[in-house]
Amino acid sequence: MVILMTDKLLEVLDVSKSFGRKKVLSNVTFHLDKGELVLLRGPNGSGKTTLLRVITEVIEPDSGSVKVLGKDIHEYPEVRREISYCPERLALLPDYTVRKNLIFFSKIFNFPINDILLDRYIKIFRLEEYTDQKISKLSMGTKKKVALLRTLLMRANLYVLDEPLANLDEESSSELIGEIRSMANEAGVLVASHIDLPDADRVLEMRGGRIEEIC
Amino acid sequence: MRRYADIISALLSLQRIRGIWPFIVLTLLSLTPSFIAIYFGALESIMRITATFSGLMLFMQYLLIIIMASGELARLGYSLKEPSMVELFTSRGISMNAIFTGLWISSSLRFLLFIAIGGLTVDIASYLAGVINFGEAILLIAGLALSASLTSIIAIVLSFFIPPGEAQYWIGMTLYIVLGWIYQKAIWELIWGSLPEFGSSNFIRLLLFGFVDPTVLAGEALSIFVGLVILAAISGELTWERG
Repeated sequence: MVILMTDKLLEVLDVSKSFGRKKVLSNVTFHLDKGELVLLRGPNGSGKTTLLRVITEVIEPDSGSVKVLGKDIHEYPEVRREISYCPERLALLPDYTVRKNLIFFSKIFNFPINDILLDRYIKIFRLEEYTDQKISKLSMGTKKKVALLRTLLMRANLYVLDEPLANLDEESSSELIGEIRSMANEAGVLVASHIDLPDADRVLEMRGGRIEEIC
Repeated sequence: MRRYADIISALLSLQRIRGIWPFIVLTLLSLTPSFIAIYFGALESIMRITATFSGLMLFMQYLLIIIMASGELARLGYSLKEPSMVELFTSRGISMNAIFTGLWISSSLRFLLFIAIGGLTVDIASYLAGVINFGEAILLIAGLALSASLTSIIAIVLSFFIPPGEAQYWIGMTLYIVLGWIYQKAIWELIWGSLPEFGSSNFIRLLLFGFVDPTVLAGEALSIFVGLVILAAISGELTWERG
């Protein structure tokens, strides 16, 4: 992980993206500072997930640019490793256990699994009894916890979470919010959600591919 | 290279090693007639048939390893191709080509391990049963190592030219069956001193039927069928389920 030399962790500059004739993002500009927790809120279809995909360079914008730690992610692919992304559809291997999944991703993304950290998060996420169960046998809420756990373990400077609270029970949600808040003290967190996140430092409202800072 | 090493290491951490014991048990069971025939001093023709079992078992192992592993591989492959997985890998700068090439290489390494263990079992059992002598056993083991290595190397090299994805598994697996079978047959024939003429119809017969003796062919078919049933019962891994 790179030591931060700038407070601007993420800069999204005039980003636009269309799929065919449909404009999904229109001149989106915002930034996220070190230690900030920013909520990207908006209804389904407002462009939140597309924006996250542009930020993580899963898709390229038609125009505009994205900078992480002051570096354009297209020109400096290595800065992608500063981002830990949790897609809405989880991306877990259903035929393997929770533990095997975590080991797999730790190896493929080359992040060491620290046992103390792992145990801490397993406890926070109440996953103790599931670690040796196959992902396919778990409830959607539990799968969500595993995917989030993987995201946290990747120890990045910027966490990008797509609908992290969906399918979580109230207790887990509040614990997760606390954990996200604590992450933001060390790094930056961008959360896309159609529901509120009371601990957010700022809320960006998305509608029709446009963004508006409301608080 | 570091990235490939990470990917292969990650994929190997997922792939199970179980399945070796069924092969060993199956091989020993199939060799039982050889032990019995030799114990009772069987006729030369029976000896030939029982000797064929050893070569046959190796072919079966190639085939069954691939059938078993392909079920698991297909499930893993489908999981890895899932759109959110592609998103996740892409977000970390890992291409799906790298993932599938890594999957193929890691699978090849595992096949190699299976084949080596299965082949060694056959050769050692054949030697103990008196079907082959010590020199022949050494030749067979050397031949096995050579054929498995060549097959793996060819498959891995070819994998770089085959578009990643499902086709890669099936092309690669076919390669394993065909090349493994040809190498093994060629080695057998070399040892027994009747190397067929490659190029004419003999090649096709060699490829498709192995030994052309109808009795042996019937034995092969029966063995494959019995082997499949035993394996299915023991391992419970024979599956074509898609993930």
